[in-house]
Amino acid sequence: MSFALLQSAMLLPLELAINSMLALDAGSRQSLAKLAGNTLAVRVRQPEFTFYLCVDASKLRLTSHYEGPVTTTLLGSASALAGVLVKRAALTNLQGTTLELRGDTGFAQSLQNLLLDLHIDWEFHLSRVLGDVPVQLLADGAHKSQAYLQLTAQRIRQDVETFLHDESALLPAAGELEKFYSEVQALVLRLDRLDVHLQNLTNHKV
Amino acid sequence: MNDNKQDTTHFGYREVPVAEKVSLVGQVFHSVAGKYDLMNDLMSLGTHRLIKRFTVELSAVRSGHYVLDLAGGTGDFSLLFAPLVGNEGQVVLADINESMVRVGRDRIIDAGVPGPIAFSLANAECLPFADNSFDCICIAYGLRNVTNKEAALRSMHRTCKPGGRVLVLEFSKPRNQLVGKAYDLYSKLWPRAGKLVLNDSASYQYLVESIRMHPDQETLKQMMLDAGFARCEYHDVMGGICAIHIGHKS
Repeated sequence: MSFALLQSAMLLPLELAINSMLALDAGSRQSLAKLAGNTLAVRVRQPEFTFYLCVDASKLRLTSHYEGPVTTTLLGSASALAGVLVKRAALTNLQGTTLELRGDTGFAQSLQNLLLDLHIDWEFHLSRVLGDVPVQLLADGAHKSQAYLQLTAQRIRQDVETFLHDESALLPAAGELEKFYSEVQALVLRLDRLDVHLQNLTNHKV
Repeated sequence: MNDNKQDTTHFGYREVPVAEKVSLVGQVFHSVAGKYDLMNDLMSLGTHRLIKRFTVELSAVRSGHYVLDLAGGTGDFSLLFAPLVGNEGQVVLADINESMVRVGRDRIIDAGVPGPIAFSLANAECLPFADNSFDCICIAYGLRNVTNKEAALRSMHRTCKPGGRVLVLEFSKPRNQLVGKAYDLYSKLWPRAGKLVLNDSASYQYLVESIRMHPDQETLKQMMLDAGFARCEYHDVMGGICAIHIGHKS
């Protein structure tokens, strides 16, 4: 039960963030009102947990416990769900994924479109829970870490390229490759011309 | 032979005449009403908000329902229930303590909550509502202050609709000894916090003692069954520091 409480606690900031965004966007609110009364159940495997997105007339409720009728159920592993979220792939086209959609797929798609159009300022919403200063420090840390990781990844890629091209000579340099490709291209053109020339000669002979 | 022995009940660790308990508990809540929410945040480190939200999730309250927020105090639950019942339903905030109802009513008015919320000064032991009135009755951190808990549970059963449910959120007995010890130590700080914030340590000393005197999970479940509720179950929260009991009226 403590896990359910934790789950409920984790859903709370997400619900606050989504509803704050909805409150600022009249268009989204109108779209939400059209979906009122519907509920999407998300059943995650590995790790096992379920949560519900219940649409009210003016807000979206995220809850760990729900006993009413469910409009649509989305089933799948956490990684598959994350994949769909990252790629912003349509829930109605789940081919090639391990996700499964049961019930009214139109509702799921409408809700997904509504949520994908929201741009949530996480720093602002976290600051309402944790305070401005801690969130500013966290955000600075996150931005610096992100920049450091990007720079490190770029340097590693450059070092690996240098090693493969120059040190071990396992791969040709970019200039060599371009020269080789242009030679191949020129050869292709000459072959095409030769082929046309041969066809003309054959036609004259006949 | 003249029997002078009075009926007594506990008020914290003290044994007091039954007739006195209501006024003693009343004095406690008159004293703390103004800073009740602040003290709750301090004592629970904010977790009471999450526990209340989770309790509301378990209530399965939806649009059109009639909900009794019993011992509703400063209105935390009424504020959570009101958007769920919508304009078709109703929430009644009931409390025996006038100061608490006043604070709750002001807070709800200030919040501009949509949907009808009514207020009632009511004793949980003899609720002033018709039989089968509510789809859901919720009493949070209130039952342990009631003099006759069995009568309160019977009264809730009477006013609950068939098919409805009663939720009792209350402090309980931690399952893990280590958690229990840590919790005991932590709760000893509460009277000092009460002294600092409200200049009233006695009220929070009563709180600590009343928690110790409250029935454990299984005992309360049996009390609910005895009151007539069916399919009674409970959910431990934070290792049993609190428990949410749910009973249905068949």
